[in-house]
Order: sequence, then structure tokens, then C-alpha cells
Amino acid sequence: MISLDLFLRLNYLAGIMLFLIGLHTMLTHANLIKKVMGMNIMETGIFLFMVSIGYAHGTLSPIMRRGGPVQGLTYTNPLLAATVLTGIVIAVSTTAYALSLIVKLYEQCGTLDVDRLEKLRS
Amino acid sequence: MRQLPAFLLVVAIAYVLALALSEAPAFGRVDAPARNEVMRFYLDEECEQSGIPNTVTAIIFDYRGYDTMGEATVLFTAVGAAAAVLAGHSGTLVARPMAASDDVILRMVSRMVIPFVQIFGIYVIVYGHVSPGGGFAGGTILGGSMALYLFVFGPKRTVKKLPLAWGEIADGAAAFWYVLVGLGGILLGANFLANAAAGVPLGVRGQLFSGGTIWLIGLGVGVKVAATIINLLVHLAGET
Repeated sequence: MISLDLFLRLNYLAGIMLFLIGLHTMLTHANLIKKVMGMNIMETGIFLFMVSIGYAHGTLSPIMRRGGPVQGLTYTNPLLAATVLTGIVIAVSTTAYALSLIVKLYEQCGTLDVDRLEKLRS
Repeated sequence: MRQLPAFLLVVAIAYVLALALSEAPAFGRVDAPARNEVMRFYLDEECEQSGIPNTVTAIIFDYRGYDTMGEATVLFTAVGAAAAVLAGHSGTLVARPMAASDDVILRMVSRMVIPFVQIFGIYVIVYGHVSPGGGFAGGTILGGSMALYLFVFGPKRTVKKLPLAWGEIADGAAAFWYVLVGLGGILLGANFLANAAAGVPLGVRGQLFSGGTIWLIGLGVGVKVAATIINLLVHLAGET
């Protein structure tokens, strides 16, 4: 049985909720721009999840002022902050490409409704 | 009629994710499994190997320089694909083509704000290795200032200020600059994108010109991201 200790994993839960909200938006809305919005909400959830893994309570940001890492002080995980950048770049690129396709589609077909576009095809 | 299957699918995925979450380690623990020897390696060795205070920038532009070059290529490909799709698109068929704003307050405020935003963006790019920031963050701020100009003054004036060809030349030149810096490592007798291993002087840690190739790569990436953002928006606004 699932036992969720919510307050211990609140950030992870928020990331998963954003992912599910975005997924539901993508699946239920017929408008293509709203589908792209849903995709972006899903990606935001994943970014929140990733940077939350890297965080730890009572740690400093990984920027060492002088003389390297100070003994006895801990820093947040820099690796997650560096790798989430890849995800953000991919998100921007896919959104831009999807939006340019949508602009072209609207010019050609005059609608962004998926149901109407399916009827137009034949 | 897609409400019910979608709801069921979301509930099923939610159940699987909740199962995984119930096994996950608690948030924010110092001894979490993600804080393993890889993180400790970066935190302990980075100051010696890259010579800059900002560990995140060192990972992005030095340790994972290849990966970042791939990201720059992804941005380049996105601009190219959007330009190819939107070729011949004039914005005339769209119901309301994008025009300049008539709002006096908006125009005056953005005219005053844009120079400061651009200076802050350049600061974040140039000081990305000694303080929070970097090429991607600063390039986004710089591109955001140009996006504000586009939204307030319209695509026609934006293209008059910054011709599309200039933006695309900056985009391609920054991507090429990254490869050139990488090839410099080979010329110096080490690997592609090698920094300290190729004998590049690291300088005094914490100063502006330090960290070897990191500063050069950060500058190129900043220009590239800013050019990508404004190119994409100008293309989408129908100014080809």
C-alpha cells in the first residue's frame, strides 16, 4: 500500500502534479496551442523534480568565493542544476518548432482544432 | 469523448508515479543518494581543475563542454527548422497581424528599461563564471530585452534596428566560435575542448579574465542564445 509522507516529499509531489496537469491538458484539449501549453507544464514539472533532487537543507549555493571548498560546509548538488539546463534548451527548441508548425497550419487550414483538422484531411 | 480515457490514463500514471514516490528518499536530506561521490568530485576538484568559483558554470562549459555544444546545435537546428517551416509566411493571413503598441506608457517605460536590461544581461554573461549566471542565463536576459522591443514596437521596427541577416550571422558565428575554441584544444596538443589540460592559463581565480576557455565559450553561448530568441520571435511574427 502507498504511504505518502507528504511533507517530506512536497517538492517531488508538486513536480508530479504539474506533470499530470500538463498531461491531462495535452490529452483533453483540442486546440493545438493548448496542447503546447500542456507540454510546457509537463516540462516544468520535470524541471522542478530535477532541481529538487539536487537541493539539501542548510547547504550553500555551489559558488566558492575564496580558497576552494570550505571544510565542514556543504553545497547543493551542482550536477542537477547543470543537467536541467539541457532540458530547458530542448523545451525551448521543441516549443519554438511546434509553434512555427502551428502558425503554418493555421495559415493553410484556418483552424487549430484537432477534430476539425482530422475531417479536413480526407 | 476523450475525457474519460484521458482521465483513466492520467490516474494510471499517477498511481505508478505515487508508487515510485513512496519509495523515494525524503526531500532535502544531506545524505540523499543523489549526493554521491560524483557531486563530491565536482565540488572538491573543480576549483583546482577549472579555476573558477562557479561550479555549475564549470560543469556546463568545461567538464560537459561537448554536451553544451550539442545544446547550442539544438538551438541552431530549432531556428533553422522554424525558418524553413515559416519561409514565405507573411503574417497577412493571420486574423490580426502583429503591430506596434499604441500605449504611450508602455512605449516610454520599455524605452527606459531596455538599456538597463541589456546591460544586466551582458553583466550576467561576462561574470557568469565568478557569480551566479552564465552564457545561457545572460543570453536569455539579453534576448528578453529584444523580445520586449519586438512586442512593444512591432516586428517592422525591430527588423530595421536589427536586420534578420545580422541575427542569423550572429547565431551561426557563435556556434562556429564554440567549435573553434574546441579545436584550439587540439591545436595545443590535447583533446577537443580541453581547457587546463591543454595548457591554457587559468588566471587568478575570481577575476574577470580567468578560467581559460570558459570565459570565451560563455561569451559565444550568450550571443548565441540571445540571437536564437530574437530570430525565432521575428520569424514567428511573420517578418521573413
